[in-house]
Parts: sequence; C-alpha cells; structure tokens
Amino acid sequence: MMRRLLLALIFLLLLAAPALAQEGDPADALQKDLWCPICQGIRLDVCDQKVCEQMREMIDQELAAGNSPEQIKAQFIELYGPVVLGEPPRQGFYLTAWILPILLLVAGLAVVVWLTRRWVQKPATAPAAIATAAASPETAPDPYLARVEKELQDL
Amino acid sequence: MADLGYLSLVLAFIVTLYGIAISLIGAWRRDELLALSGRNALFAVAALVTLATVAMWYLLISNDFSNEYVASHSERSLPLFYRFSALWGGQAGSLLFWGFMMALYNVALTAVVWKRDLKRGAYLVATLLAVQLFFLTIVLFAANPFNRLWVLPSGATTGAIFRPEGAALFIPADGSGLNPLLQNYWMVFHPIFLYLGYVGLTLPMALAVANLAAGKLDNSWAREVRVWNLIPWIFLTIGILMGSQWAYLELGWGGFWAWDPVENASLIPWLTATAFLHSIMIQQQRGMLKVWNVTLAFLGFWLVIIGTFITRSGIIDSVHSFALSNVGPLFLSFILLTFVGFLALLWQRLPQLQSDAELDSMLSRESAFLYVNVLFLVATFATLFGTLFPIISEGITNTKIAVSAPYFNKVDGPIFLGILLLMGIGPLLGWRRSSPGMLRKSLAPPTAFALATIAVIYLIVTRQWLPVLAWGVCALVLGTIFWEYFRGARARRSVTGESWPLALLRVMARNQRRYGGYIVHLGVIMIALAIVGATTFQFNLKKSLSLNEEATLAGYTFTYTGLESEKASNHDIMIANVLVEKNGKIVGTLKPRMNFYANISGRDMGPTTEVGLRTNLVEDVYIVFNGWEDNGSLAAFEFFVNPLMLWMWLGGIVMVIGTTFAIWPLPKPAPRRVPAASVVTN
Repeated sequence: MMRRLLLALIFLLLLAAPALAQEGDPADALQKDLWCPICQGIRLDVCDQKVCEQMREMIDQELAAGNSPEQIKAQFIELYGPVVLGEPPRQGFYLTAWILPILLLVAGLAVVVWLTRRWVQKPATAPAAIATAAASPETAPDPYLARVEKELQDL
Repeated sequence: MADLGYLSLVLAFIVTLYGIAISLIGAWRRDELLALSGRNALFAVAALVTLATVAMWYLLISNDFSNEYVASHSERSLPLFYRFSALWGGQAGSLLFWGFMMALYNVALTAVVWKRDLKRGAYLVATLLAVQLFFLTIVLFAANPFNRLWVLPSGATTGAIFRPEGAALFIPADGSGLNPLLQNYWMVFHPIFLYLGYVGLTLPMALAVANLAAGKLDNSWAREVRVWNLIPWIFLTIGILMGSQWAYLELGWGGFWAWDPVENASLIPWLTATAFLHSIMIQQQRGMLKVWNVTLAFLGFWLVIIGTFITRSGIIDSVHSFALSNVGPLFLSFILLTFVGFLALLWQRLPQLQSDAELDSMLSRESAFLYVNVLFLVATFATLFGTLFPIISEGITNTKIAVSAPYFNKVDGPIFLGILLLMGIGPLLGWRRSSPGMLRKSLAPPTAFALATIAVIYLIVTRQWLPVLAWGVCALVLGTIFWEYFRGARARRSVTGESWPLALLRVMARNQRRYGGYIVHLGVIMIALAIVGATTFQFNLKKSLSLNEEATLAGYTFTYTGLESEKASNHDIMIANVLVEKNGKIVGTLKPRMNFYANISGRDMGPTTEVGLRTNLVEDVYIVFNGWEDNGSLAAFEFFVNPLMLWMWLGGIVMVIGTTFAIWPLPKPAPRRVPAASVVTN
C-alpha cells in the first residue's frame, strides 16, 4: 500500500514537474517583492493603479541602467515610504511587530515545558498503576495492537 | 412590512430583556417555572427575529424603495437571487442576518441541552440572550435596516424610522444597486457559511459561561461542547475557503488570500477554535486543562466580536470595509464588558477548576496537544497584532506602513509548518505516556515515506528549499495518517479475522472522532499542498495582444481570437476569446470577461472582472481580461498558471467529509463478529 502510494505521488509530481521547472527574470522577481503604495495588500506586479504602472516602468529602466534590485528597492522606500515593503521595516519601533510573536512563542513553549515537568515530577493518584503502564510499552511487542486489543476486550 | 419588521425587533428586544432577567432569577432561586419561562422567551425571540428577517427579505424582493436599506443595496433590475442575498450586502442588513443566525443556533442548542441541568440551562439562556441583546441593540439603535427614506425641508434625504420634523416620505424610482463585487454566486454562499461559523462560536462560549456560573465544573461539558464547537468550526472553514474561491475568481490578481484585514478577521477565531477542538480532547480524556479550555471557548467568541469590530467599524482601510457607521463604540463597549465579565467569573471559580489528573510523561499525546496549542495561540496573536499594527504604528510613529503578505508569510508561515509537523508526530503518541523507543518505532514508516518524497521532489521537481521542506512535512503527515489507518485495521484483523476493508471500516466506526480527525488532517494536507504549489510556482505575464497574436507562458500558448458582448439584466458583459494550446495541442477556448454595471452611483469603482479558468489536478490556467482598444483589435490580458490550486478546494471538501464522519451519530458496530458459518446457518 505504501509503495503504491509513493508511486502515485511520484506520478503526480512527474506530471507537475514540467510546469514547475521555469525560472523568472529579475524585473518580475522585484515586482513580486514590492507592494502597491496605495492599495492595501496588492502586489506591484498585479496592481492596476497608475502609480504601480509607473513603478513597473521605473524598475525596467533602472535595471537596464545597471542598478541592483536592492538599490531600486531603497529608491522606492525613499519615494513612497516603507509602505512599498508590505511589511514593517526591521528597525526602531517597527521591530516590535517582529519580536513580539517570537517572544510569545518562546514564552509559550517555556511555559509548556515548565508545566509538563512540574506535572511529571508530582505524580498523580496511583503511582503503582503508572509504574506498570511505564513498563509495558517497552516490553510489549506492539503496544498499539495491545491497546486496540484491550479496547476490544473491554466491550 | 417595514412596520411589522420594526415592531418584531422592538418586541424581540423587550422579550430578550425579560428572558435574561427571568432566567437569572430562575437560576438563583432554582425555580423550574421561571427557568422554563426564560427558555420560552428565547424561543419567542427567535420567532420574532425570524419574522423581522422575513419582513426584510420581503422588502428587498418586492423592491420597496421607501426603505433606506433596499434603496441603497438593491435595484429593479437586480436578479432575484441577488435581491435575496442583498440582506447581507450591507451593514444594517448583515447585522440583522447575524441576529437571525444567532436565533436559529440558540433554539438548536437550547432545545438539545437545556433540560440536562436546570440551573445551567437557565444561565445558558441568559448568556445566549445577552449576546442576542447586543445585536438587537445595534440593529435597533445604530444600524436599523427598517429605516424609511425621508426628504427634509432643506431638500436633503435621510433615513429614519419616525418622521423627522417637517419631513415627507421619499420613494426613489429605483435603488442604487448592490455592490457589483458582491454579485457573484460565491458571494451569496460565502457569507452564509462564514456567519454560521462566526455566530456559532457563541455556543461554546455560552456553554462555558453557563457551566462556570452554575458551578457545574465536571468534565461532562468537554464531551457536550465538542460537537457545538465542531459545527461552527466546519462552517467557518467552509466560509473561509469560499471567500478564497471568490477572491480567486472575482478579484483577478491570481491569488486566493491577500492577508486583508477582513480575511484575517475570519482566520483569527478559526485558529483559536481549532486549538480548542484539540485541547478539549485532553479534558475529555484526562480531566486536565479546565481553565485553559473555558478560556479558549471564550476567546473564540471574543475574537469574532473583535474581528467584526475591526472590519465593521471601518477603523482599517480595506477593500471590504464599505461599512462605516456608528456601531464602533457599541462594539468596543461590548468587547470590554464581556472581557471583564468573563475574567470575573473565571476568577471566582478558579479554586474549583483543579486538574483531576497530572501528566505522566513529557512525551505523550497530551504534551503534543499542549505544544500545538501554543503554536495556534502564537499564530492567533501574530495575525491579530499584524492586522492592528498599521493603526498602532500610525498612532505612535505617525508614519503609515503596510502589513501585508510578506509579514504574515514570514511570521505565520513557520508556525503553520510547526503545526503540520506536530500533526505528523502527535497522532503517533499514546495518551498518558510514550517512550522514545515506541515513538521511534511508530514514526519510522511515515518518516521513511517523507524522506523518500523529499528525495523525489529534490531530484525531479525543484531545488528550492521551501517547497522541499513543506511538502516533506506534508508527506510525513500523510504517512502518519495512512500508517494509523493501517495499524488500526491490522490490529482489528488480528483479533477478528475480518477482511482488510471490513476491518478498516469497523475500526473507523469504533472510533469516529479519531479517524474522522485523520480525514480532516488529510484535507488540511491537500490545502497545504496547494498553498505551497500556487505561491511558490506561480507564473504570470501581463500582455496586450492584437487580434490573432500569441503569447506564451509556462508551456502554454495563448491566442486572442476576438471579442463578443452580451447583455444581462443589470450589466453589460464584454467577453474576450482566448484559444489555449499546450505543446501544440488545443486545450480549449477560455472566456475571461468584464462586467459593466450601469448603476454604480456613489461607488468609486470601474468594471469588475471575471477570470477565464481551466482547472485540473496539476495546474490552473487563469486569464484576466483587463480592457481593449479599437473595437477589439487590441486587448489587454494577464495570464497566470497556478499549480495545484484545485487541491485547495478538494481539501476543503475532504475536511467537510472528515468532520461529518467524526460527528455523525453512527451506531457502534458489535466489537466481535459472529463467525461467518453461524450466520449462514441462522
């Protein structure tokens, strides 16, 4: 069953492969990396605003003039503000948008680790039962099977 | 009709107040008659709100333009279908619709669970009616859909229920029409499902609050609340996916999710509801996390209200926020009030909410659920914070910035990947405890499958690390799901000797929640496959073509073969014909279109587009028609090739199937089958 599944997936990926194999050009990549300064959440390469048309033309000109994508990006930020990045810049106050979720993640994980440790160290009601439960998974040939069997017998 | 609707709402408001008061007194005095009267008040409110909703539909369908809402959200030439859906096309109507959904849910929940416990039932009715009261207040006092149009002595028109000083009734000849963007069939169904999700998340909160208030703090609520959370959860899931489908077909930018505030507002409660439906299992199995679970139940509801506030008060600019009115302060007060109220109640009951059991091992299904809870919560916070960040930063730094896809993809993306990873590992861990050796043993086949998949993707498809990693994790989950099915069926077979398919079916029916859950996981994996595929490997090309000129993209050739036009009841349609070929073989003709609505007065918008789409399991060909010149000798297009998109919608269907299977009341099959021989002789 597993092998057949694997084959099916390979077949699927083979089908998809030709469509996935192409590389984009730098102007296109840059357009996909910038955002409309007026609309909320519309990418530069698909936006219909006049400003965006001009921005796209400017990208072509600047690239032709030999400027790097990073330089062009910096120009746009100077022209329209950090809006064109589509994300908060990583400096000053804006850093909070980046740092807070990470802090929360670390804190949350720490709390779970702390809680589980505390709970494990302070064993619950029946220590004897737990001792046997602890021993069985290692020794039984297939604990899952044992569990299902037990469930079936319980009925 | 307008009078009847308005009167129903006023009566509903009064009966709601009565129902809350009588239920609270009934709960306090443990008086069955009073509590019963409270329950009947809830049923009466539902009937009255239904009547008001029907009245509103009547006004919309009969083109009664003396009504302000009808005049500004409908028109004579609007097809019947959209006159019906215009109920949720604007602020006042959608809030009434919200109240209507709420009434239906209230009746369903109360009819099923009210009689189980007198005191709890009374508190439940009071809680549900309190939320209902909030929406009735808004509809009656801030956004009344039954307002009439009046012309003032100054000549200006205004909407009001009662005649303003010196004003005369005003009936316009025609309405100003429904927002053309909403005239799409996905926009008829998407809001219904979304609201069924939003409104339904009141139920777990109400059950939590009622149980807390009644001091009914045992674990029976864990089993009870599960289904009342799963139902709104799956509706919300469908609603979100339908919204994506609409955005994909109608907005014509090649994507399905823009991290727009309105989209985020639907995702945020979905994340906590998903966390809740996992962590409630720990309480059901082990009697743990009692405080956390009631808090999550409350958060789901609370975030719905916050999301509605963000999107309905117009505090954030967005394509969706066509609604601007005085509902903001009401929402804000309700948000604060419910928060303080819930905290006070929780604080009071805190001593009685101790865990029954402790954790046996740091490596167990319980601990996996705890970690996944943290991830869901961080995703919730990050999405909410990111959505609000433009306002926060404008307030503090005075500079307008945008928080769009780059931010959310970078912050939420890794968290979602972590959730997927736990989705692959968690199901293999046993309740209470697992040993590393046992985990290693059961993780081996899925891991092998994942590594093989990674190798195949790396060698054949792409060397980009993101899709390789993400699809690898998807393969791990897929491996886990099938391994679980296989192990379950094998275990049953070894006991009963049944055939493989029968053993599989029986083992699934014996534990619907678990195996239904795995089907849902399968749907999630299909959606992840699509998201990674469509965002990483999308091709697009903007190009204007003259008649019979060709464009090529990702192996496809597009030939523009001409324009045609059609007329619909309230708009003109211009259709561009594009012949699509792949490797010299004709695939078909796609017909992207532009719709020109005559009646868009007061709306700053041009024509709407509808994409031409050909979809299959490998990729979508997606064409947007942007305009033409010289009678159609030149036409502007944007061509997209979006890989694997169909898997997203199929994944949604699989999620619905899995959820339905998990909650469907199947009779439990006999644990042991009678040997076949004896069946024959009988």
